[in-house]
Amino acid sequence: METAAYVALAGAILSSVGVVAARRPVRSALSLLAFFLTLGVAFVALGAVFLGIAQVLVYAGAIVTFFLLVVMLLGSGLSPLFDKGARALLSVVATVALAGLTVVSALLTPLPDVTARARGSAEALVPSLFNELLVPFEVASLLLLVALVAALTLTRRKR
Amino acid sequence: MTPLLVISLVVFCVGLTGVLVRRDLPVQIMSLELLLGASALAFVAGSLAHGLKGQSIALLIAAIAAAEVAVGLSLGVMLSRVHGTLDADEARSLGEERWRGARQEGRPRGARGDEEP
Repeated sequence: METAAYVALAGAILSSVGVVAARRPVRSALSLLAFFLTLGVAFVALGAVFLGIAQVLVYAGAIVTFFLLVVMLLGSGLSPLFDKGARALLSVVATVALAGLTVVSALLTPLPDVTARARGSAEALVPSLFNELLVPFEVASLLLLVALVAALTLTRRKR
Repeated sequence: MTPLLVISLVVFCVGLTGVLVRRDLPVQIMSLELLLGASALAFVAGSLAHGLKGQSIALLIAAIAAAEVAVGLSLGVMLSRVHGTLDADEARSLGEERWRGARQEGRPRGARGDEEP
């Protein structure tokens, strides 16, 4: 199962590069779909079964569909796709520097090995989700409501 | 646990590069989704060693991602309606007149797929 997880995660890395590097937004959206599918497979292989299924349902079913809808509605337009020159170089250098720092600190920190397989079924998630994390859970529902109203308000036209 | 964290870091940095380097708003938001997915992976990696709380937090991350996509893409629709482009660098003006004027006049400048029902 460990190997399956790493194979799926390699696919996730490749498709995340595809999201950033694709020239057409539709291909970016399809790479995003591949990213979330491989991430869901990796979650299932790591034992987070319910989370993997929810990931595929929510992201691949709803969010990527929404992206595709908006991309097809708006078209890619004539806007430039990438930054050019010094700005892009600066961004990439800053990101690589951040990655290097974090990898070094992650390798220097003693982290526990993964020995105990966490079985993340839906039942097993209930105590943490509805007891310890009850307030964040309710705040998340409020956040979704606010986002819904915000999306409606932003795109509404005055008659 | 360390290899999982390093993989999540790689995906995070790829997504961060996308946010910084890409200029069209939908792809920037997709790169933001990569950031959220990478952090969810880090939480799952933690949950393998420290109990199931990390997986619950990863579920909450999915809700946050949905909210972010809704607001971000409606901003994209608004940007395309007002400026006629999806280039995020065009939205530099905080002045309200331009936005309000474009809303009331109701016609986009060069934006496609924007018909009144």
